[in-house]
Amino acid sequence: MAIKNWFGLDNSAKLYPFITTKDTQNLFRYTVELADDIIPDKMQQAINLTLERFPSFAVRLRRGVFWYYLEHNDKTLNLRPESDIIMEQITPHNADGYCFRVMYYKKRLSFEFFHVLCDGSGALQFIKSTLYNYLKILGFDIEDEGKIITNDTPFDPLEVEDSFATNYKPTKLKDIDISGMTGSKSRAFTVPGEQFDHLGKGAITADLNVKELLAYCKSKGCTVTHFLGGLFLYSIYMTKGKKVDNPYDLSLFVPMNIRKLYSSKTLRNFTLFSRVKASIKEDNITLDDFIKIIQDYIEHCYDKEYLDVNINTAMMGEKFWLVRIMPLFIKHLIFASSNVKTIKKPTKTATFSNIGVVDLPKSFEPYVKKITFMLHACPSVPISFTAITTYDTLTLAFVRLIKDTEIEEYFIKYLADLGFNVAVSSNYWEVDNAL
Amino acid sequence: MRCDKCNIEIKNGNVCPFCHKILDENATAIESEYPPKQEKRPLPLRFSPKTIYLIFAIIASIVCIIVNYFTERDVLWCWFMVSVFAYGYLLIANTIYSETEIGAKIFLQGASLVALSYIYEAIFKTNVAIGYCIPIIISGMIIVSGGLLILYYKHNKSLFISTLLLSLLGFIPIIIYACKGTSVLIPAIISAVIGGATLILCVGFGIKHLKEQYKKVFHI
Repeated sequence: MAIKNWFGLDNSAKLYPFITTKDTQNLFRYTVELADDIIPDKMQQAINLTLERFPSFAVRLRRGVFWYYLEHNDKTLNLRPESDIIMEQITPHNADGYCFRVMYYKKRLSFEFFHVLCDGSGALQFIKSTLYNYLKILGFDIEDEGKIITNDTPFDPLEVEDSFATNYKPTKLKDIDISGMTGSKSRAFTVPGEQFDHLGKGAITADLNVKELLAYCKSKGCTVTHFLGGLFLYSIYMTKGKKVDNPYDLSLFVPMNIRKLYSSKTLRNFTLFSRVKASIKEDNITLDDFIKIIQDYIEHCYDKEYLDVNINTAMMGEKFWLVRIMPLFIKHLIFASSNVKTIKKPTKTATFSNIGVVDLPKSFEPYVKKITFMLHACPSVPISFTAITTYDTLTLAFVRLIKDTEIEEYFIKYLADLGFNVAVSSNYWEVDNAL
Repeated sequence: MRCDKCNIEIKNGNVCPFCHKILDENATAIESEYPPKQEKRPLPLRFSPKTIYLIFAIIASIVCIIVNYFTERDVLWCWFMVSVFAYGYLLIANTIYSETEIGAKIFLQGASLVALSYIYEAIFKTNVAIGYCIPIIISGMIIVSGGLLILYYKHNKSLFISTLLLSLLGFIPIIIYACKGTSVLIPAIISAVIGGATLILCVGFGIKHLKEQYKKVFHI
C-alpha cells in the first residue's frame, strides 16, 4: 500500500500551531540513558532507518490556505550534540525542518518533540524503534519481543489515523460541552516566583524504586498517579498557595492516554485532559484531601461517556463550517487575541503527566538504563511535573521557569521523609558553575 | 553524594539543588546528566523589530500628516508616506520575519505594491498604476515565483500552486485593457505572455504535483 506523503493535522494537533508564541511552544522531551557512550554516526544511521518506517514523523509542518498540514520531509534529520537549554523552541531552521530533534550527550540521547506531531505515547514507539535499530547496528543480541515496531513490521494505516475523527459521532450543538473541556470560565492560581531572566528552563529529576512506592500507594488505597498528583498539588499549596491571600483554585491538567479505551493504534495525538480543580481557600488542607480530589476527578473523566462528549466537542470545533472555510491568517488573528487573554487570565496552574511503565523488551536491559520524560513550562504555567517508569525505577521530572525550587524541594523531601530512597539530579539552571 | 541538610542523594553534581550547599570541597570529575552551561542567552525580545518599526512608523506618519496639513495642502503627499510606512511594516512583519509560504509572501508583496501604485496615482494625479505598474509588478511576481519553483521544486512543491495562481493574475492587465481601463497595451501583452507561458509550463510539467498540492493546500 502506498504511504501518504502528507497528513492533515489530527484534531488535537490542529490547535498547537495557533497557540505557539515566541516564548511558548508545546514541547515534550524524552531522555534515554544508555549503558555506554553514544556513537554518533551509528545513532545517525539508526535515526535514518527509523524515519523510513515512521512516515508520520518524517514530516515538516506547512501552512495551507485553511489549515496547517504535515508534508514529507526528505532532508536528513541530523543528530546534534545536546544544548544546555532544554526544550528550546523547534523552528524549521533548527531541526532540519522536522517537528522534533534528536540530541546526544555522553550516554544520554534526548528527543524533543513538538506536540503537533504526536503525543508522549506515540513518541515512545518511535524512540523504542530508534533504540532497537541502534542496538542492532552495534551488533548486540536483542529481540523486539513483540514490543517494538521494527522496520520489518508492515506499515499499518491505523498508525497514522486521526483517532478523534474515527471516534467522532455527530452530535447536536446542545449536547457539546465547551466550557467543561476548555475551562475557560475560571481563572486558576499561577505559581508565583521570579522567572529566569535568560533563555532556558530549570530541570530537576528524582529516581526512586517504583515497587516501594506502589506498596505505599496500595496501603493508602490510591494509585501512583493519584498519589503523585496529590502530592504535587499539596506541595504547591504548602509552598506557594498558603502565602497568598484569597488564592484562586489550583487547576492541574492531567493528560489521559485513551488509546486502550478506544482500541486505537495511532502514533499521533490521542490524549484528552482531565482538569483537576482544587480550592485552596481553606486552611489545613491535607495531602489526603488532594489525593481524594485527584482520584475523583480522574475517575470521573476516565469514563467512556464523558470522553465521548469531549471527543465530539473537540471535533465539532473542527467540523463547524465557518471554522473550516476560515482562512488560516484569520484563525491566527482569533487565536492571537485568545492567547493574550490566557496570559492575562491563566486557566491552569500546572500540568502533571504520568506516562506509566515503558514496555521495553527484556533484552534491552543491559543496554538501556532508564528513560526520563519532561514537559515544557511557559511564563503563564511556569512549572510542569512528569513521571515515567523504566524497569523498577520511577523517574520524576520537574521543569520550571521560576528560579526557586521550593515546590520540588518540598515534594522530594516529603518522599524522603516517608522513607523512600530518592536520588536527585538537576541542571542547576538557577545557579552558576554548579556543573 | 548526599546532602545531609536536605537528607537526599544527589546524583550528578557537587551542589545540592535545594540548599545549594557544596557537598564535597575536594570532589573532582563528577559525571553530569546535562551538558555544561554556556553563556546566558537573552530571552526573546519583548519589543521585536516589527514592534519597534511599528512605533517608528506611527510617529513618522503623524509627523508627516501634521507637516503636510500645516504647510502645503494642495497635494496630500502625507497619505502616500503613510502608505509607504504601512508597506514597510508588511515587508518586515509578513515577509522578512514571517514563516509564511514563499508564494504567499510574493503575492502579498505584489498586492501591496499594486495598492501603493494606485495610491500614488490617486494623490499625484498620474496615469502609471494601471497602465504600467500593475503589469510590471504582476510579471515580476510570476518571474520570481517561477524562478524559485525551478530552483526548489524538489523541496518546496507548494510553489507549484503559488506559481499557478500568480500566472493566472498575469491576464488581469489584458482584461483591464479589453475593458478599456487603460490605453497602454504593450506591458499588458507582456504580462499575459509571461502568465500564459508559466501556466502552460506549470500544467504541462507538474499536473500530478499540482493535483496533489491542491489537495494539501486547500484541504478543509
